[in-house]
Amino acid sequence: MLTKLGGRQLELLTSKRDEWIKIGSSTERMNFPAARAAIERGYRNAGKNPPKIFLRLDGPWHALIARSLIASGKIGAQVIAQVRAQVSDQVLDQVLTQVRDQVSGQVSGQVIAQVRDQVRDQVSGQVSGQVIAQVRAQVIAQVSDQVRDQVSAQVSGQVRDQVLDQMSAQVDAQVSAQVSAQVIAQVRDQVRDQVRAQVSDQVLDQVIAQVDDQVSAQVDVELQYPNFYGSHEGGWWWGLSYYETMRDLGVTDASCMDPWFDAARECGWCWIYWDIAIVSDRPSMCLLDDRGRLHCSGGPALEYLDGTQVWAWHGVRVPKRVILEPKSYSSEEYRSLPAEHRRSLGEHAGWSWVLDMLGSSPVSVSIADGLSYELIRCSDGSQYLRMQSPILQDGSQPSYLEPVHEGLKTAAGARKWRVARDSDGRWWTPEECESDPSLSLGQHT
Amino acid sequence: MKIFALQGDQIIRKLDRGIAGNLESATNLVIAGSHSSPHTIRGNVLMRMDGDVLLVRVELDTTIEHAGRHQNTVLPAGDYEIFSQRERGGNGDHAVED
Repeated sequence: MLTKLGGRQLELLTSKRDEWIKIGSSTERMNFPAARAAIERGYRNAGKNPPKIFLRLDGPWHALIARSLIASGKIGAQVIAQVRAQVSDQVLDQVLTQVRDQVSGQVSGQVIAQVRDQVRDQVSGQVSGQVIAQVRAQVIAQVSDQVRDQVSAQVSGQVRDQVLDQMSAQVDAQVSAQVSAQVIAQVRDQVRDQVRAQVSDQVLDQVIAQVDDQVSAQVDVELQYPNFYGSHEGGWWWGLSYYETMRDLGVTDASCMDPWFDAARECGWCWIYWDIAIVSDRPSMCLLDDRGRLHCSGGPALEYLDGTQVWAWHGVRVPKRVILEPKSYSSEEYRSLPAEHRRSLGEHAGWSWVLDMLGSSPVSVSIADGLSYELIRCSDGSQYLRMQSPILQDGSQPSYLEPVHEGLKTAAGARKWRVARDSDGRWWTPEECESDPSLSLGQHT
Repeated sequence: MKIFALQGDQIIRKLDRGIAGNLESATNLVIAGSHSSPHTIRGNVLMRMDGDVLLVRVELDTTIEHAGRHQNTVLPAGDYEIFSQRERGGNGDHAVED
């Protein structure tokens, strides 16, 4: 039983943390053959046959489209033209070609013969692109019948959970709870905070937004979360950084997860099923600020080859316009932005520009707990409270502008108005806040 | 008026009377900012949403962490209600959308 970690073992925790953060930040192109081979080994280790079909896509958005195309069965000849108009040719072609190539040896001889006959008959005359497309579509339509029902039955229950149970049992038998907690805190949680919270969660939010925004009537892109986050998996459900550290600390009989450690080093997000695996590439670009947060002041902070982009200001996902054209916002548009976007815009365009754009003038100033508060009235009668932040983690102390009630008369009253609420949920009126602006904060961070 | 803590836009009030009714367990509970910078209560808590208020029971001292921005808030064992500060909007006052 491993009950205490010594010098070299503690160094291992640091190196494993850094290695999995580096894996999670990788923008190298995926090594598809190596990823495929690793995933196949993972299935075999769990006593299962590997998927027959592997699809390779440029990023999570194309992977979701591919999955939805297969699941819907809407890649038949009748709708292919409409589908083409609504999803990228690139992803459709990738799916069709890959599925066709990989199932050619698996579909029934009857289907192959049928297709071959049709091609022969039709190419004897004039071979038009349309004919080829129809034939290909018929192949795919029949193939998709075989695979479309399988994309809702993920393998997590029988492959992932099985290896996790097996590995957890080995760890529990050989490592004390105290050491386990130490590895969780110093490796897995730090990888999670850096890679998952700062990168993959932002990508996920972007993809969810794209699913919500897409209006395709022919191919509804259904959101299904990946069951293997590949290079981002160090701090996700599989907790690969934790288990690999345990293996390298000497836990024996822990090889069951080796294929998944390997796969995470070779590819991006995956949707793996019994007979088909959709493997997507890693981001092609990932820009972080000095605190490891997604950030770029002149372009997307993260990008995939499938066109998925995340625009971010110091870790806050913002509209592209906030980054590229921050000074194009009108006062009305500015007010309609969520608070975090207003703050990002203010920091990017400069608060003096925001105040000028709002046509503002100061009304009242106060100091509370060493922080300055200024009530500002705009030309349209609206009011803002400019508040100095407590010292942030990076040592800065920025100011923010928050819209407040136009009936407020003092900065102290406005400060109270933002927080004063009775235990029954009733918020205080501006008059009540002005008559009693006292406010005591136990902690303010 | 005394408030236990502010972390960014989040108001944390300590409840003198314990929370009544059923609570669910949660680990590393994200209390706000799930689409930007999450505010997270580390460890295990019991919780329930009551309208726009999050009711939380903390059984072991912990902290609320904010990814990459605000300093940690110390959260001793006890019962709390957590909700967002308000701001003025086009259609009236509403909780700050984080």
